Amino acid sequence: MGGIDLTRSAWARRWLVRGESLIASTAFACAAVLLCVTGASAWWMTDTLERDAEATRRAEVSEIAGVVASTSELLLAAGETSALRRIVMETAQTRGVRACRVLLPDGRVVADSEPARIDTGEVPETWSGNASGDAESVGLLVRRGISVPGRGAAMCELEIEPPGVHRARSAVLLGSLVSGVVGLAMMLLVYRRFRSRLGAIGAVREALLELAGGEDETAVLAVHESFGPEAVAWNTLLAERDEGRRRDTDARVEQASGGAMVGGEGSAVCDLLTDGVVLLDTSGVVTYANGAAAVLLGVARDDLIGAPAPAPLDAGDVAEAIGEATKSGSRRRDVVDVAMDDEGGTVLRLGVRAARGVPDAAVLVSIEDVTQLKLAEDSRNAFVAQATHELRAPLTNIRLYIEQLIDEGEEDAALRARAINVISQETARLDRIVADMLSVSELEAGSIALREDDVRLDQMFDSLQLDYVAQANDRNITLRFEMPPKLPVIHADRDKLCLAIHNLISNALKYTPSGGTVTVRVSVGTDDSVAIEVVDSGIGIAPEQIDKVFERFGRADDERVRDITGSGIGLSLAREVARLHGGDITVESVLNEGSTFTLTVPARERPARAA
Amino acid sequence: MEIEEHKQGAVTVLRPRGPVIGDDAKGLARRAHEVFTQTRGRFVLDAAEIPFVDSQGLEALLEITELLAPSGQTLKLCQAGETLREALNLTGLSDEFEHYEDAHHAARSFL
Repeated sequence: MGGIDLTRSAWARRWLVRGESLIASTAFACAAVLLCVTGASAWWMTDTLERDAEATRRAEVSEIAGVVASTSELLLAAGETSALRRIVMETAQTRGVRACRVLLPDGRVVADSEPARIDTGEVPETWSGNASGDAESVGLLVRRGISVPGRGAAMCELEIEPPGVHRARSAVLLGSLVSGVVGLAMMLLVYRRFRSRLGAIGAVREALLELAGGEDETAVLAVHESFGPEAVAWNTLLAERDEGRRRDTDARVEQASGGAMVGGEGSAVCDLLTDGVVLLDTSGVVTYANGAAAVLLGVARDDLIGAPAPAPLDAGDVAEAIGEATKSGSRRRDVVDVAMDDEGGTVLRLGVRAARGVPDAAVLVSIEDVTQLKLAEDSRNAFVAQATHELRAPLTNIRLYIEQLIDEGEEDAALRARAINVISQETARLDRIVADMLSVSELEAGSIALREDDVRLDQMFDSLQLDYVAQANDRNITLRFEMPPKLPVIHADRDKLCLAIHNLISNALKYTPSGGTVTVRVSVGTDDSVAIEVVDSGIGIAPEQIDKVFERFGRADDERVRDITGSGIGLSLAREVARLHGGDITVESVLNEGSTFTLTVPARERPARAA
Repeated sequence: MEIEEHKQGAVTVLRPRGPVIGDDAKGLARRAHEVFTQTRGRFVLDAAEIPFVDSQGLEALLEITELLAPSGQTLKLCQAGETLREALNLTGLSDEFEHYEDAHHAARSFL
């Protein structure tokens, strides 16, 4: 914001401030006029009320005066002075008049609501003077003439209570004044509160209109920051717009000048690659490295750029290939696999070629992490070798016995029986190997599925026992099947479950030396879940190798098993089958003492069958 | 929360056991950072035993994603349960990750 020129906004500010002041002044003037009108209305209203009240009261008092005058005539004529004085006093007390009196023409008071003012003890028999019978109002006084037959004229005078309307009028006027002052004060407060904001909004609005009108200069569109946070936010927006334009321009300039890899769109694109990209200049200094290169080389990106090529680019075949590409500028791409010296066993595949047409760069090195690929290749090669061996062993046996049958079978019945038995066993073995391979293929393709049906476990284990008893006897291994008296019928894929248990038993027999024991123990839970333990007294597994036994194509790195054939898929497959059934396989092992593999299959609900 | 680790070939599988919440989330992010450095990014997160995550758990997952992003990689999640998937969908974060059926398939993506 500091860079924004606000010379233009001074005019707008003056205009806006003046405009805002005019509005405020007009508002205040209107408020004052309104206040005056309200006061005048209150005055007029109270004055009118006062006049009405006074006229009404005067009429009332005039009537009272008439009544008192008539009564006084009668009482004076009868000489009942005491009664007259009592009536006058009661009139003053009960009719709400300030004073009531009866006077003779010479001014002597015959009766008065205040007895102290009476200055005539006895009323004379006659007296002179005239009195008008009409009512007469003088100030607060209402007078009425009295004519006493045979004695003379007198006057009844009533003094009206001064009206209380003056107090009401004062209260109304005072209230109007106070509310007016409070209203003005509140207007002032609100005005002060919103003054700057209104100013900012007005200024921003004007700037927006100018922007819509085609004005694009930040100096013209900017608003003075003294208008408040809205003005600051507006100026921030303008500054960010300028910054975005500047970056865009820089990127285009960079791209146009061939330096796209350094800070432009090319860099962002290269950072999306999972393969590393490194550019080196003729002296072997790194001029560019993408994010993946930094991670794969294990060096912070900032430390890479501008520094000599790091390991493994600085030695061996890679350094030689880089030197050759720098010197020759050849289009040829040299590929070198380098094993990194780290705990992950990382293998990087480095592709080196001359970086033709790239400014500030002589060589491009692409880096690919092929660790997993290498492992997979090694495992596959091992699998093919093992599978070939596994297939060859039963085939050799079958071929040998068939040759014997051809040569001697016609004459030797015992040989025929033994040969048929061996051929049958080896064919079953081949069948399992092929089934394993097919299952692995299904697993790899993600298409493996269960074909579930009712499985009679007692029949399945009887069959398994028959399959392995002979093999165990041949190797002098004691094979025991420990079953509960009754085994349930479970819902599972019989073939796959049988395959998994086959793999566990054959694995146990394979790694148990002659004279050892293999026990297959089956236990059934209350919910018909089944746990199958295969316990051997074999060579056991080292703790650090236990994780590897379930890896596909993986075998324990153990000298003792080098000569024992195995495809490396049996246990992996068995566990996949167990998991497909919702169960699992766990292993406990003590080196040189034996292992226990436990396959659990939870009870599974049978699907409803159609009637 | 315990984080079980095992290898699937050259790929390290991180398998947290329990909800990724509070300080556990920070622990997971920290461990992922260490494994990232050790394996140069060859790791997957097996979410089979993550019953649920809170906001800090989601932040931890995003933090791991941001750690991988500069090298063009994306966090590979496998066996994410329904609750976790729903949390990711509701917060619009699901597309920030690569989802796999199991650790084996996730590891194969490094081939």
